[in-house]
Parts: sequence; C-alpha cells; structure tokens
Amino acid sequence: MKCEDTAEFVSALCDGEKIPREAAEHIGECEACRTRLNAYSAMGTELRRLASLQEQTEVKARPWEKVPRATFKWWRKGGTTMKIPRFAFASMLGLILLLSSGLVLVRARTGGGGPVLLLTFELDGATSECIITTDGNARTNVCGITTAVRGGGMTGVKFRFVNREGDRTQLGVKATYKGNSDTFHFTDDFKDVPETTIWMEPGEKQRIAILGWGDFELTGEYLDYMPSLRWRPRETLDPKKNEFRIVSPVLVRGKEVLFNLTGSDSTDSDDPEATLMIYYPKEGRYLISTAPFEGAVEGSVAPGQIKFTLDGQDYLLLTAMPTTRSEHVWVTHDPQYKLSEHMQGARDDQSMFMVRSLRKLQQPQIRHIM
Amino acid sequence: MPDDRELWERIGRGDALAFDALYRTDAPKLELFLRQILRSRQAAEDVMQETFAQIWRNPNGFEPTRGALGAYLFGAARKRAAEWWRKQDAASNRKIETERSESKAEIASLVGDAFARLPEEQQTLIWLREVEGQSYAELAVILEIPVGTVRSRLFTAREALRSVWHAPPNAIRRAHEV
Repeated sequence: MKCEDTAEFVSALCDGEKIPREAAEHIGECEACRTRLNAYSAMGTELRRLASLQEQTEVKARPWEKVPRATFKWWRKGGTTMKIPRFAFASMLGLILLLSSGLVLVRARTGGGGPVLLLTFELDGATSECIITTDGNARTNVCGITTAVRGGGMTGVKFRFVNREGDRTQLGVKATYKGNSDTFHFTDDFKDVPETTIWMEPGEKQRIAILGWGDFELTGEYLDYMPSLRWRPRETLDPKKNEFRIVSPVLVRGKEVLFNLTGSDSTDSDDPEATLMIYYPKEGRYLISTAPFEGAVEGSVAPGQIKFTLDGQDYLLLTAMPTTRSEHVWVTHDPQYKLSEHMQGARDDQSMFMVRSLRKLQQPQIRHIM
Repeated sequence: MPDDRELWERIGRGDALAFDALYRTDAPKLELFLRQILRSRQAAEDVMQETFAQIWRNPNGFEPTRGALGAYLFGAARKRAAEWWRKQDAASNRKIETERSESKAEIASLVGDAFARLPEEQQTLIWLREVEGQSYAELAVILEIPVGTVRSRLFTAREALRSVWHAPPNAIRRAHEV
C-alpha cells in the first residue's frame, strides 16, 4: 500500500475508527504517515486547547412560554397559478397518487371527517404541492413526490398522516435521494428509508432533510374541501390548453367492459402531442393522442368520454373528469404489445396507463416513474 | 437525568422546565461552536437564541433512532448559521475577516488562525469532531451526508487545516490574494 492510499485511513485512525489491516501495517512502518497522524492529533489537541481558552459564556436565562400558534386558515384565495418548472413536473410523472393504489381521487368535498392538508414543497428551486386528508381515510392520508434534481439523481419524499391535535398535524416523513438514477420506485425505494415524525402548523415554514442530498422547505395549510386534482390542487376541473388528463379510465367495446382502472396521470400544459397510453394484459396497448399520427383513426371527445371505432367495433372510454380541450383524438391499438419488452422492470400481467408526449411513447423503450 | 427520547417527549408536550434544562446544558456549547463558524460573538448568540426559540415553537425533526439530541441541535444550529451567512453580504464580511487576520502575521501559525481560513463546512466538521467529539454517525445526521462521506470529508478538512497551519505566513497571504 502507498501513502496516498492510506492517507484517508490515517484520519479515520485518528478518530478511533477501525481501518483495514493493510493500511494499519503501512502506517506502522511509514514515517510520512506517522508524521501525518501526529499532525492530525496535534491539530485536534490544539483545537481543544483553543476551545478551553475561549470563554464559554453563561447563557441568558429566558422564559419558555407557550408561543401563540399561527392563525388557522380555513379558506384560501383561489385563482393562483401553481408554478412548476417543466423539468420538475416532468419528473413527477407517475405521480403522487400511485402511492396508494386504487385511489378515489375526485371528490367535491371531504366527508365531514376533518379538513384537508395542502402541503407545499420548495425543493431544488421548484414549487410542488400535494394533498393529504387528516380524517383517517386510509386512501387519502398519504402523498408524496419525486423530483429529478439538478446535478443528477432523484429525490423522493413521502408524507403520512399520523395524528392531529387542534391546528397541529403530526406527519410521518420519508425523504431519500437516489444519486445516479433517473427513476424512482415508490414502493421499493422507500422501503428501507427511516420515517421521522414532524408537527405541521398552518403557515409555518420548516426544513426537512433529505439524507445525502440537502433539505427542502415545507409549509402546510388546511382546506375544507378536497381539490379536484390532488396532485395539482389549485387547478380547476377543466384541463388547460394542450393538457391531457386521465383519471380512473373505463374502456367499453360494444357492450363489453374491457377494463376498469383507478389512478391518474397528466401531462403539463403546452404539449400539442399529449398522448395517453393504456396497457392492459391480453388487450395490448392503446395510444390516444391529441395529435394525428401514422396509422391512427380519429375519435371524438366529450366531457368525460372519448369515442372511436377500430376494426368495425365501437369503443367508449369513460373517465372521471374531462381529459382534454381538444375535440378530436387519434387512436391506435396494438394487441400484440408486450409491456415487458418496452419498459424496464415491467411485467406483462400488470395494467398501467400514463400520459406522455407522443414522441416518447413511440420510442422502442419507454420510461415510467413507478 | 432523562434520556434524549424522554426529554424530547416532554418538550413536545410543552414542558418548559424540560426545555430550559436542555437550553442550559447545550446552549453554551452551541454558542461556542457558532462563534467559530460565524466569527462574531453577537451573531453567534443571536443564531443560538433563534435556534432554541424555533425548536421550542416547533419541536419537530428530532428522531432518537437517528442520533443524539445534541447532534440534532448542532445540525439545526448549522442550518441557521448557513442562513445567517446567506443573509449577510458574506463575501465582504469574509474579506474583512481575512484582512484582519493577515495583519497579524505573528499569529498565523496558530491553529485557530488556520482554522478560521477553512470553509465553513470543514470548520463545522473538524470542530464537531475534535472539540465536541461527535461520532461519524452523528456527523452524518448533522451534515446530512452518508457516513462514508463523513470520513472522506474529515480527511479533506484535516489536510486543508494541516496545509494552512504548516504554511509560512507569507504563503498564506498569497493564497488569499489569488
């Protein structure tokens, strides 16, 4: 072993850490390494001496009285546009609500069991939001978000409602960072992440650490209704221009229900080629795009419905909310499509749907933050 | 003396006596640490007070399974200190400090002066390790970095300190003029 290989172990040895046998042998025989060890040790001694010489002031006694809590906001002024940079939103695909499968996403109001907590994140320069309920509803008491951060890697943050005392809500938080990765799996990647608990109060800012990455700012406030879109709570039921949303799709062919799925996804606005892909075992893949493309048949759009005809058979796609402002869509069906051949880690016996740009979905390999 | 978990639970319930005990025990150490990285006695006191006040208002974030309460306090103080630096015109403040130090060539060989020339993160690491005796695991929590990274960054920090400490005074001056 050479000195440059053992230099870091000299520092570790100075801290009483165990080091590899080879490194220990080298340090024992090497004059230069022993000099380094002695220098480190002397520096530590000098610093402790310095600290001892410095006056350790007696802190001022102060009363620790209960601090008045922030005002509870029942109503929030609407109409504010959520600002999410594209790269951040694009990285949120797959989204929040996959956290708990089979979510009932759309409710006009909460069921009277308590208010809804809107969580706002300031992470890596982007603002994101998600919603959880504080009424103990297991289907809506968890939310999370993944973000592709600048400099590479993904962060994942997940919140779970634990308890509520007046205006204070206790949350379980899992926050983690995956370096050198552009995917995040909500089930697997949170599995070994320790959960910490925090108390949220309306309007109060706090910083949450993401181990290995840094921290982000979190604020929360209560709403007395469940927003139409849990993952974009300030937006209306009406999709934005060039946006494609999909919530709980049901596909009917003739009189036969082909599938009935839960969950949701959407594109950001301003993608004129926003396209829905639905894969269902043994049924293959459907692509439904707001832009014409090769081999596609034209279909029509009504609020909550898309109609099209393929191979002489009528199809009706029912959705829980309006999908797009377009009046027409273009549809293809590939019954031979195998999900496992096009998406890493996917199985052919799983159903899934997602909204992406047409160009991305037509690539041989597609990605999905699951 | 209650353990960290018990003490924290009492603080979470709004027990002012429990919090005062924590304050009296840990505030002096915290202030001394802040004095090193903020280089201002007044700022150190202010940041220390803000750190405790914030924790009292909102006792969040400490998880006994991830480290000692002391480590959590140092982590919280470090973040506040970073915020303090951001709020200041850090560049000009540091320049003033550097010039002041350089005018005293006779103390340039002292470890304290060498220490003051290190970046804040390296100062934090070395101070918490050498003076406060924080473990690698605790440093990982305080700095929010993996334990393996603590080891390599401590080595880098020590090397930086050693090179400044052992450099002749004029060499130190040249380095800062670049």
